[in-house]
Amino acid sequence: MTGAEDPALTPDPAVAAEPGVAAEPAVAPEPAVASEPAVGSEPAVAPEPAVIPDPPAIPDPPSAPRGRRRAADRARLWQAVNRMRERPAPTIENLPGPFRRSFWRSPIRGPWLTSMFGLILLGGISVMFVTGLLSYAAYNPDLSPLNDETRGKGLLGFYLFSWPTHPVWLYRLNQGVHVTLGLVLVPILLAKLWSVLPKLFEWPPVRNPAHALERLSLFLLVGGAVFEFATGILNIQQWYVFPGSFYRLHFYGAWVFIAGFVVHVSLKTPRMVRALRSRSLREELRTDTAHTVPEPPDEEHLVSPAPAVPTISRRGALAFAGAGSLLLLALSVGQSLGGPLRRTALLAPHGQDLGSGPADFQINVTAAEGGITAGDTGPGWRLTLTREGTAQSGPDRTEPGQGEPVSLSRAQLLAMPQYTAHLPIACVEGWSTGNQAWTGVRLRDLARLAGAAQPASVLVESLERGGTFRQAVLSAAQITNPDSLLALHVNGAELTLDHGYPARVIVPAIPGVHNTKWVTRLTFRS
Amino acid sequence: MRRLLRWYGAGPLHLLALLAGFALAGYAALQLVPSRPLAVAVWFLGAVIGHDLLLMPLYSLADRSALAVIRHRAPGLPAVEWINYARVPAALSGLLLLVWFPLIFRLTTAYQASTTLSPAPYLWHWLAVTGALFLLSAAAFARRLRHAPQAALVPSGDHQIAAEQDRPAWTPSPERTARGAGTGDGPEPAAALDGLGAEPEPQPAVAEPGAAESPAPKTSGEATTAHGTDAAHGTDAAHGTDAVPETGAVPERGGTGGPAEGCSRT
Repeated sequence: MTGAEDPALTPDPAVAAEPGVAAEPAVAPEPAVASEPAVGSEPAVAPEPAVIPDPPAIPDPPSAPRGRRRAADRARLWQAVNRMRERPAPTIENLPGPFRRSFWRSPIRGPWLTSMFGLILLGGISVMFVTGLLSYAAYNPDLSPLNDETRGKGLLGFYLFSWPTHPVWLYRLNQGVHVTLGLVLVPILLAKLWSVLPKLFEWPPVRNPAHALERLSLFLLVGGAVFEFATGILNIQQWYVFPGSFYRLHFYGAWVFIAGFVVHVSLKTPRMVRALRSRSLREELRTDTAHTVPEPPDEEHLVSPAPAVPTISRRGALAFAGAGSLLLLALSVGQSLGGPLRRTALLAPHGQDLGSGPADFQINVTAAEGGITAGDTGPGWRLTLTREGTAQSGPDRTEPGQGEPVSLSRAQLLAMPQYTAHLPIACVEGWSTGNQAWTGVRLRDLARLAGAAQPASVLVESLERGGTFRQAVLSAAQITNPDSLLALHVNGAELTLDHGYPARVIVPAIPGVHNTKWVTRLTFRS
Repeated sequence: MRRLLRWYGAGPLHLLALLAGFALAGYAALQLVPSRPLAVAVWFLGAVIGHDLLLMPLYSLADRSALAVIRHRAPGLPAVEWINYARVPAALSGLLLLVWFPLIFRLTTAYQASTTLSPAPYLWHWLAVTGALFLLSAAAFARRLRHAPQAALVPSGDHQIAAEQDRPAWTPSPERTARGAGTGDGPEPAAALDGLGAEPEPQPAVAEPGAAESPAPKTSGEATTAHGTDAAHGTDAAHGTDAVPETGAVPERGGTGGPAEGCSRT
């Protein structure tokens, strides 16, 4: 159906003579020329058959009369070109396959539909970008290089601030929105890319330097978008096939993408607004397939010059993409809402309900995976508290150097005042648990015990053998919050090994991985 | 300066925006470089190629093949447009697969070790959801068939395909508007009907007895008319105007659902 008969490929002089067919010889590299080696280097001679009645005469060896003939041909060619220029906007019909505009036949492609998808993405991607940066900020990367999984944020960490501890569901909300919205936007992104696909094959590929640069920026945009969605979606399924640390790739990839995105938005917004105003949304939502007519031809050539009969209306296309979004939402949001709704997340990594026992809530690293042995957590386990006066602490460094380490057994910790805090676990992967009742010792009490009454930060170290998150640094606000605990019990029962027995950190509103399990040492810095 | 801008092809702000964009992207990319730059570049490039030159062509091809196969292989099927009843559940199921294939195909080897959760259910969940989508779609289609005007249920055969394929470009011709009307889910906007009336040759229907009573035809009537003209198109594989003289033959060809019945019903 498409490209089966391509007039340009038929070396028929009668066809080539038709100016409408041999359109724009200066721009199109004329497949017809390729079949005639003698004139291959001279595209301008291509329409020769039009004036020379005998086509086999063309491959003549170069000779003086031929030179004159060429000049004459060129003059005729220019006449033909000028004639063509007077014709209304010739479509390039002699290009192969997708480069021919009439190859694209969808009757609903057009600036209005593209702009509708674009508008949704404009809002959605903006939220994704902001929640993504907030998620990065939530790790407090400027507190310590240990917290900075991107290794050298440079200028791209300009917006960082000390992550708050209130409300306790802050990170849960942020990450649930980031991940769930990302899933929901997949069909919209696919639809948007579908709607502009003819642009990938536009001809000529480059019109001028501005056009070349813009197309290059589209590479950042499309490559960045697919890269970001792919790494994010693979990461939440823990399929780490991407080349390197997820944090680093997803973070810097986001900046590459957003550069293309901002350029695209700033160049295209006027056109988007115009396209959206060109049709009434209400009217479109009332128009069924039978009454769907293509949008009027547009300067960007999104509208097909040879539209097929519609099999779906524009409202149908919007509903189609919307249905995809709703389906993804319905099948995954449960893993972020938790409670009885968790079971509804039929296709989400943390949609399985573990039961109703005190320890039956989601886990992302088991003790076995963390390399924790029974010997590590047995009666011999001790928590070590140390105080470090770092060189930078300056004026309030009353007792320089390291304080005497304090070693505490689990029984000693249990003998200290116990507090209960109701806090969620919220993972960067988007899943989270409802609030669990954690009971244990306040971090600020432990700081005081270590001799750091006003700690600036604390380095928490785990028994884990390896892994990126075997240590984390918490901020002053996170230490002093009354809900920040070194938990020994959860939901009235002793911690299980997989939940961090003998002791784990739990702090309001922080990324789950910073709630370090199997804690062995706390180093307070003042 | 003006010449420079003419050579460039756009205003200075355009250039500024692009250069700023590339500067930012370049800086961010430099931060990425220390970690396997080639692999990262391949991923970026692969993302574009994977979508634009692989996924998109594949699903387009699937869609086109489905359209073609369905229309050619099932001449006895009703003229009610039903591609979307296959297209939508298939696409939604494919979308779920595209997003969750690592879980569905258990590609994450550490999943169970990390989460204590079983990887087994996802394949079944996906299959179940897929089944449910097709079931829902079939139910919706059955409902549509029951409520569709009788005329639209007349087997359409290959005529329709021929007509659609031979028409080089979509034209808002009356028969098209009418044919699809049988599948429309709402009351037609008055404007569209006006458009129908305003067509230069809106009256293949005139040749048919029932059309006389429909200056603003009802759905069923339109569908009937439409079917007739499409069939006519098929016979001489031509465009709107050429078909008109043939319309007289249409009711016979149409068989059971005569146009008069079609119009009076609803």
